[in-house]
Amino acid sequence: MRSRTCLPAASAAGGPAFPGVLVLDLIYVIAVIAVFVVVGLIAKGVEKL
Amino acid sequence: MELLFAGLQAATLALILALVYRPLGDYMAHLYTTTTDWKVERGLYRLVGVDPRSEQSWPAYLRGVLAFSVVGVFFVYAIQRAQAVLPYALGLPAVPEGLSFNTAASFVTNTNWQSYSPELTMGYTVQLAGLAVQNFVSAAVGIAVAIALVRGFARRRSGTIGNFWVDLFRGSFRLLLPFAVLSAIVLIIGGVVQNFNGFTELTTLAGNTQNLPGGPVASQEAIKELGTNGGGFFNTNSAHPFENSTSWTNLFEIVLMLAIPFALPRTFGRMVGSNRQGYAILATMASLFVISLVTLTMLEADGAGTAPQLAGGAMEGKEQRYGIYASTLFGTTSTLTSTGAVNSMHDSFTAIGGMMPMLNMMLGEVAPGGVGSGLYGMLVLAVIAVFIAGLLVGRTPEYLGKKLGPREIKLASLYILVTPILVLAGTALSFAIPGVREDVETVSIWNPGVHGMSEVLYAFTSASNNNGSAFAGLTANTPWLNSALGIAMLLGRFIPIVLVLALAGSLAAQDKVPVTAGTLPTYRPQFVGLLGGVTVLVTALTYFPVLTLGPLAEGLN
Repeated sequence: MRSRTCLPAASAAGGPAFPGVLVLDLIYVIAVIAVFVVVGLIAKGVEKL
Repeated sequence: MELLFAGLQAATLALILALVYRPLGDYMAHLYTTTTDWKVERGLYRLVGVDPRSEQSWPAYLRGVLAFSVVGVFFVYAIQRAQAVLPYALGLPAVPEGLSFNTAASFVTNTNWQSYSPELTMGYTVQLAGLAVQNFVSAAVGIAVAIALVRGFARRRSGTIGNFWVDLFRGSFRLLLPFAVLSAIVLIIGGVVQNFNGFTELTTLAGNTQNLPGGPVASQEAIKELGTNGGGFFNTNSAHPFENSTSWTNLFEIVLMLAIPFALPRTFGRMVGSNRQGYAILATMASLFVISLVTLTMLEADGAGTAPQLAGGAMEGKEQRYGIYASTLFGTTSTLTSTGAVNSMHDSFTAIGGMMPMLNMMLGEVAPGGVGSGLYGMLVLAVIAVFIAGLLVGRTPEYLGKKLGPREIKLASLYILVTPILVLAGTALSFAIPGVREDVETVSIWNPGVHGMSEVLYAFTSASNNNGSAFAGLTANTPWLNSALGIAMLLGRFIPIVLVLALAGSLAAQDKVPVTAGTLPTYRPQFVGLLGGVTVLVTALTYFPVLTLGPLAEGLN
């Protein structure tokens, strides 16, 4: 049995570094912020319990 | 013979955990109470501008947890999106947006749900700098929150519950890092791979070619189990021989999952000044664990149908190297500790057997639960149990000298409602929203009917309770499931933390009341029974209806 090691490539050839839709990135960033804002608001409410 | 081996394995596990309980629990108690800082810690405190001697109120402690976590989410998201330009990306492209969000939420919340095949999606830089780092710090955050709650019980008339940054750094550098390094060395000795070789192309004896993946697996495997994270380096997780090589590495990984969660009650007992209070919590956790393990093992060892009878049990989806007993032990451990690692496919368990991992998570991950989250979950249930006992027999509702007034009971009640709401609402919305329902039924579910319903229920149960194990048979890499499960993970982690820290602050502010004839003893077997009963009852009342639509319907059919 013989083996050959495939060395890892430095990066994907060609192609943009951030393929995809920028709008989707923004949506998910806003979603994360929104979730943490909700948690923060819950904490504010809990303080008043 | 297999039964004898299973008995020996269980006895060995119990012996190791018993030997570890006191030294590890005492070490953690020392770790979180000492005033001595390490040099590296002092450097980090200066770097983040923290005075290690200053104490925080519960809102300030919470702000630290949330700020640290939101930065973690953005970092893990960004590093996945930038994967293509990072070194050691293995030629892999950037991770798509929805999957990046889901994975970032998953690893920051200590869930480690994976909607992807790791070896085909994540390069080494993302695995190490993003995911492995979160394996350490998310576990340290969980322990920090538990310690803050313990301080709440231990302190009198105090406006503070500790310093989050001190707890975070100590948990990471003095507890998780050294034990993970030692554990990784043990795993390497056991045959778990540790290299940066990428894929190795082999010519098989039959003349075909095969690509074998390598990678820094042992280092990630160690913290994956020790921090009750569960995210595998390979798609098949601990069923892969490069992640879990032999029978003894399997047992070692189980020990790693249970060591800290089972030792934390000792830490609790030490810090509140009564070791027997810790034994009561430990006994409750251990009793629920044994009951669940025995039930699942009996169900899998006696699988119905011709094939299971001929094989001596339900062997579908189980690794031949481990068999039924090591699979049920691993599965029970993994789903009762919020780890979520698997060495067998839970989707292939018998119908009622498949319900057991689900039930384990539905208990709220408290027996013994995740690192830190298990202890604080059980202590919240103890508050509920004391309150119920007070209602039943007219005793004063107080626990460890702290009066449980309306505020404490409201916080504890809200705590036990959060995850059920997320689980049930997430599952219901998946089948109720037009468009989403069609997507879930045609793209995600591979097994239509009641089993498909179980797959979706399992996914939301796993995400909301921050377990991370998958029932398999469900394609979760879709816009809906990536987004909904990601949000469930974040809310399922941080809303309970808000309530726990608020409870800690409320308790710390109180003085201790003296023990009287009307005080319920919370260290006796009757309290252990009461606490276990409350835990099961809360779960059963909440989830029984939905279980009848899934695994119970399938099992009784």
